[in-house]
Amino acid sequence: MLTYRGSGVVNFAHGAIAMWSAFVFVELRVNRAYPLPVPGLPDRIRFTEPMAFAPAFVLALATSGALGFVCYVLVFRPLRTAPALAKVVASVGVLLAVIALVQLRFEETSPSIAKILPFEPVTIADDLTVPRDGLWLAGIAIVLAGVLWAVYRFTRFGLATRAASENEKGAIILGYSPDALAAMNWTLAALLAGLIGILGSPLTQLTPALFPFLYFVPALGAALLGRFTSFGVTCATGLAIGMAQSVFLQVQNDVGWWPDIGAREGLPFVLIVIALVILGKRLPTRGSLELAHLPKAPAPRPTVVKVLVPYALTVAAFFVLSGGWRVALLTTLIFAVLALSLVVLTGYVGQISLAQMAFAGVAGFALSRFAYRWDVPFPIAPLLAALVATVFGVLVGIPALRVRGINLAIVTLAGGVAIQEFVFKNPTYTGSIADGGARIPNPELFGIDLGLSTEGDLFRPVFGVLVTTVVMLVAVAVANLRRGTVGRQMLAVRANERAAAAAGINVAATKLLAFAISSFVAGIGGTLIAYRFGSVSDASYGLFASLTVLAFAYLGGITTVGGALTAGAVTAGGVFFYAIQQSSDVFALGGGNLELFIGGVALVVTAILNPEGIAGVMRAGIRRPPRHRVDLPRPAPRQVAV
Amino acid sequence: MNALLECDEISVAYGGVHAVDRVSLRVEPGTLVGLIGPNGVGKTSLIDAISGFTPTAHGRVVFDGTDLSDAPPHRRARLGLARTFQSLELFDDLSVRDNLLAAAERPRWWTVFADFVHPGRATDSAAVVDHVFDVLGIAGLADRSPAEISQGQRKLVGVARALAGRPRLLLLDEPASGLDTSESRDLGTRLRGLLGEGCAMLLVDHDMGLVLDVCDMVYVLDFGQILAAGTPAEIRGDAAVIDAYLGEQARPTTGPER
Repeated sequence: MLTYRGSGVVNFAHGAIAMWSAFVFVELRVNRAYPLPVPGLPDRIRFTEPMAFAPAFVLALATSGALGFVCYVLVFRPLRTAPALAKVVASVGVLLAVIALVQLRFEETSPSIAKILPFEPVTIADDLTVPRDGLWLAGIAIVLAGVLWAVYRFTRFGLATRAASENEKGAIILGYSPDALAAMNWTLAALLAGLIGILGSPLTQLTPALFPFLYFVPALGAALLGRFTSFGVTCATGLAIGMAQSVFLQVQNDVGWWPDIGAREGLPFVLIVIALVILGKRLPTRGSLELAHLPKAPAPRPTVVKVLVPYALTVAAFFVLSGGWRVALLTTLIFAVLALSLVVLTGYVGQISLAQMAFAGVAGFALSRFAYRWDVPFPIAPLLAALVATVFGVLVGIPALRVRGINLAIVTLAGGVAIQEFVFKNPTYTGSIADGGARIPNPELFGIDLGLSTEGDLFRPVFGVLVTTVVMLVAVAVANLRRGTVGRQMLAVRANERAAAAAGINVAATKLLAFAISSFVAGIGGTLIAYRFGSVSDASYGLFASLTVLAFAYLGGITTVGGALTAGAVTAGGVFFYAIQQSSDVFALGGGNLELFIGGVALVVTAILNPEGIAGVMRAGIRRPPRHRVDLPRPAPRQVAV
Repeated sequence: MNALLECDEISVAYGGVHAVDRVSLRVEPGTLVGLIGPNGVGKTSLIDAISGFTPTAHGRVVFDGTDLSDAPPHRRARLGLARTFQSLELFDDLSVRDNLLAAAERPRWWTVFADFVHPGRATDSAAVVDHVFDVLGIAGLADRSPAEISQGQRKLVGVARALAGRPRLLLLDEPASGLDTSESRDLGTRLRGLLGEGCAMLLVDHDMGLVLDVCDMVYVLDFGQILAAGTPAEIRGDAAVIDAYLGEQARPTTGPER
């Protein structure tokens, strides 16, 4: 929230910064070392004995503040005038990089609560019970909110910040540097995130894939309700959500780990979404014109050759290549389907979704139900499953009618969390983990088994043929969509909602249609994932993966089919990284985290320098020379008197 | 005679400010009606209210016998009530032709499935778009991007896009702003030509000369209210209009008698 004030950016990486400082703190206290956040440099500076509480605390806090500052200067300052999507993507990039870094740097990726707790009474309370901790944390939060409110209300710095967020030019004229103000606010926000991260970590688990979301999503919801400007409302909402969740936690403990916890955990998110939609009209970005443009979405010109040659090559590759390559190729193709789902939604209509993997998961579990329990035959079961995902997609898409840009990203993220908590963790829908998750039988058509693995054969090429065919069909459909009537209307909505409505285009219906198509395609991707692994559990479709999908889809080029295929190639575990892994041992050591880190950094760079993604660069490289030749003989544009 | 558009005492309020205050006006089929007034008197607010972009605090908008008061903008557009924007608001990601097609096409529920399979299929809309290009004489711009043509050409594309939806009434929001006198007169001639296409127009501008020259009927707006209404000749002679708007320069011919 502070960040938003300072520079108009909602930073998805905040949770990550909080997490990093918590890890630093633990490391200093327990493992006698200060970890350095840059790969390539020595891992960490070692000390001879565990640091005392106070210096460790200060050092960890300083780290978070410095990280916030660096984030602003390196990433978000260059993006100040970029579209909301670029900012979301960049902050997702930072988040990915930090998470990868944590996994690279700290062997024990989820330090247990017991290890930290003994050190905590110093800060927290003389009474050691957990509710007491929570109370203290709540008290600190309230005091912080009060202090912040006072600072922003009464000091010159606060006044200047408010002025700059209202009117940047005005602030410049008055002699304040919005840059310096933003940097200061970023540092302050990161400091706070670090503080909460350190203090809060004993209350919860410090798991890299979980931690940023645990605080971040509810916190953002609270900040949204406070409309990014009211400290009081934000604090109150945050506390209410936090309390509701800890009550649920308590109930969980009483009831045991599994039954119905999904429902209880998901509830706050649903409440946030409902409140957001009701308050939709009052949200800050509503109705404000997006000045910066999204990357161009050129009309594709698919030809028989362009489609069939890559198809034939890919199919041939499945028969020729070894097992490891086949798996990498499968990963690439399946990821390409997920990226294609975002081409429709984000590339064509300009809507952001961080719930794609949740849609995929809905389809995966639905497939298990249809195909395994009810014996629905092959082509029908996955299509039905994708339709189920479509229903969820439209439901999550409804808020998009009232919220836009960054807020939509948050709402869809909350939607994804809700789906995950309500559906994936509920054994009624997903089968119990003890049985190995929800099973999926191999696809079978006309008596031919199309599955990846049978008794004796682990990587059957025929499954590759199936996946390649599906990818080709989806890619052609998505490319055709761009060229047709609906595609034009989608781009019109993306370009200018007001003008689209004036031209008789039903903006709401177009957006919902995009969500429907997108979640259907994601659902198809989800069924492919399910078929590939033969069974699915809630871990198959993690929330984190939704972020990765958006990130790599953007990296590849989110507006084109070619971009989606590129995204598949460069994704973690895809052919590109597999090729690198084959050629050098460095990556094998990282266990996938180095890819994630590079992906995160590449994402940030892409968002800043090259919004059209890798495919955009390649397209420009190919097209540029002929374009000059075409331009020269073109007759002078006909003069039109006005 | 049935009016094509009938605004019945419509008001638009922003907070406590009445930008438009109980304005009634009529547009008859096949006529070019002008609405003039200085900057800030609520001309654009009135257009927004008629086209559904801003809610009305009071009054009704009746188009061809249908009460539109609760209809969203896109439905009004589909009923044949098109508009242009002062700031144009073209779809910059689409070619000029696609800009027009997006406005001309009316997808049905099955259109998306047809698109998946055969996106380039021939439609009636293509003919409509070509016709509009011919009427406005901008066929040469069809394959250009709106970003790479001149401001004057962009204005024509804005009008063309509105026409592509085959409207029966076109609301033109300051089409002549930024044009010089001769360009402005030329625009007037083209607009009169459109009446032959069966499209009535409500021309909103602060260019007195243009509006008085080409319109059949003129309303004068002042501080959110209708100050005067009549033929251009009547408006030219209206004492209240002269006092409030035409000002001192217009006074010499009528001034001494008063």
